[in-house]
Amino acid sequence: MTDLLRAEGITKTYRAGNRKIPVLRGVDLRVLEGEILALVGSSGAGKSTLLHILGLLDRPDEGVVRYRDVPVSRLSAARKARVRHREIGFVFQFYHLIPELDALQNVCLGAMMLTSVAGWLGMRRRVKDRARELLGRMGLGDRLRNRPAQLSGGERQRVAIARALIADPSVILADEPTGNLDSRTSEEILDLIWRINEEDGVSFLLVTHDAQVASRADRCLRLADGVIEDGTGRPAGESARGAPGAIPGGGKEA
Amino acid sequence: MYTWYLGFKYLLKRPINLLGLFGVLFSVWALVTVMSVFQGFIVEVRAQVRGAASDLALVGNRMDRSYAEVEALLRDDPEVEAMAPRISWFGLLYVRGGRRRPQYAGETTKGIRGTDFYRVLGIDPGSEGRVSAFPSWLDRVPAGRLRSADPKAPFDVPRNRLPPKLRSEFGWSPPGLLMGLDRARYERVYRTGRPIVLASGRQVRDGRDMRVIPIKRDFVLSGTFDSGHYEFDNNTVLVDIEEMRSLFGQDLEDEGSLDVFNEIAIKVRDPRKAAATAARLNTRLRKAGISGTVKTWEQRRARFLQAVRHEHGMMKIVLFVIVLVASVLIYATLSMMVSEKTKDIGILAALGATRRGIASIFLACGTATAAAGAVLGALAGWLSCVHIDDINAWLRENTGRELFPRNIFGLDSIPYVLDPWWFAQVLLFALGSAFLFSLLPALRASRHDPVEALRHE
Ligand SMILES: Nc1ncnc2c1ncn2[C@@H]1O[C@H](COP(=O)(O)OP(=O)(O)OP(=O)(O)O)[C@@H](O)[C@H]1O
Ligand SMILES: [Mg+2]
Repeated sequence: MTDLLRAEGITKTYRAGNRKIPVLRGVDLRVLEGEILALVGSSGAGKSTLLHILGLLDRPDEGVVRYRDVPVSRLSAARKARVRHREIGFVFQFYHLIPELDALQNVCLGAMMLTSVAGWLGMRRRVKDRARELLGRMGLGDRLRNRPAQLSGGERQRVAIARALIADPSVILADEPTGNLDSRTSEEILDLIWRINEEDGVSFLLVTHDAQVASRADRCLRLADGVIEDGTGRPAGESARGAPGAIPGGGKEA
Repeated sequence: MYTWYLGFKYLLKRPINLLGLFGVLFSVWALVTVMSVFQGFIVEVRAQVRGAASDLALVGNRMDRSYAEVEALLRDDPEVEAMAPRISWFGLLYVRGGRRRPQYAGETTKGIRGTDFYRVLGIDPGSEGRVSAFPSWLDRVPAGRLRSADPKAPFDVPRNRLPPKLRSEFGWSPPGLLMGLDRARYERVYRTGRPIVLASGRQVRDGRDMRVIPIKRDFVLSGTFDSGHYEFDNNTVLVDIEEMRSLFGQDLEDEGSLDVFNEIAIKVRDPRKAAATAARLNTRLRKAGISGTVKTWEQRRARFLQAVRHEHGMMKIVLFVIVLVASVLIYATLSMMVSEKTKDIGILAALGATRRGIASIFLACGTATAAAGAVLGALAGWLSCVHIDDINAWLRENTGRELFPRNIFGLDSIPYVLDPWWFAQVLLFALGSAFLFSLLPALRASRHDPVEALRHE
């Protein structure tokens, strides 16, 4: 397997007044094609910050994010948006669906970002069918016309996952996707994620507080004190599925 | 695509946006209707003024020259088609007899009723018809006791129409006087032959002093006229110019009397060249040392036309400001929406929206609101112009009030001008201002940090 996403020497410092808060101090990390990578760390460690930088929503102070060896973090804003749309999906803890749109529309929205009005008219059918199919796979085949307010947390998260999938990304960045759900629903969502990973070959970067989830992942990294350390207790280079090794703490070999 | 899609979804799902829509709708409606009707009035009033006025007029002559002499001088000009002399003066009219309408205490003596101050215009019935539509002014008379005056001899009253006291033995009858139709109605002088006394005065030079000589002359009503220009009709009475001349001491019967005038109405061949013709005639007059100036009808009514135009301009500004206010409504609702939608902004950024795309959503929202409002408003304006008379009639019947004082202008229906260019201007303005006012919240939206928006629930 090859690198899909690679972060090299990412630093990020926030300023509160004239006090500097260094959140990331040189993070190296890579996401391989087709793997599920777990990222753990205490609250406030900077996991979300890192995820936003990897997803090109935020810019690092230093360092570079490469996507298939292209230094995408240095592209123009418009091209970054393009990469974000084409290659990267987001799933958030709080679902973040558009409340005015129903499930189907929320999913379709994910496919609209780059088309013109005319282009959309041409592909509308196809996109809608695909959205229906995705929602069907998420087990929401009969809730297409429900708005987020009419859906439970688990159902909303399924819609969010379908939305992340509609543009056929190669990696999905999920920030505590089960953080707001009870254990049973969490289990269902996680099963779904593993199934998608298996069936579609989409990589996942999974931020989680759940040790069980972390151990289930192919690899697990810990973010602490602004750098990555191998936090699984498992030796570096070994993973649940026997994928090639994680980068050891603060890994310099990337 | 998502910009339009979301823009419209937001619009449809958020009734608060109707506020801006209705704001624009009503302001555009008002703008279109009021200005169309106003324009109609202007066109109508201009036509009225124009109809009662000759192309050019020599005004301000000191009544010291013979008309024949001046006419000969001006007739040479190739543009001059016809001329008619006039004497324009002012005076009070008293009506003898008739129903009395007391206006204030001590106003009347027995059987005599004072009326208002009038412009007394002496005309030459023979030549007047060549410079204005004078003969046709005499056509419209109300059924009843008023006789329509004979265009050939408008100031003659048949003997049998005169009150018995005035039927003299020698075939002499008092000179006739034509009053505006509406005014005659208002003054309740309903009968041909009604005696009317004109009282006025004139100044004469007496050595080094100026002396005022009182003028009093008996007339009888010989008919009414209706030029269509309500102001002219209401303030003017027409008499024979020879009567005026005799009032000014130039009696036709006297030896050496002069056919004086103080105005000459001039008809030109090409009204478009009126201004140039006027200038040419003026130089000619100055060379001959004749007092007075030739003016076009627009110059003569400049103040009036300017006042109307001024009012029109002010009204326009006021109404455009109302459209601006409607845009501010859009601005307010959009600003609110941007604040509420910060999370959506983060989501869209995560889905791959650019800043420009995010700004466009709100721009689309604001402009679509304005566009819908403006189009509906223009439509409403158009409809209410077309049906303005029905609306007016309905208002009169149900509320007793009228939208527009139709009667003052003597109009059968409320005039309006539907000018497509004007509609386009209003639509563009409404859209443009809404666009500009939407730009601010839209830019604010695009500057939101998506990360900040996504961090919290
Ligand atoms: N705009 C900001 N200004 C100042 N400090 C910030 C800003 N955004 C984040 N931080 C700080 O950066 C640190 C990392 O935040 P982040 O949300 O990435 O943590 P996290 O690992 O995702 O935590 P959690 O597990 O609670 O989600 C926190 O201490 C936070 O207070
Ligand atoms: Mg977080």
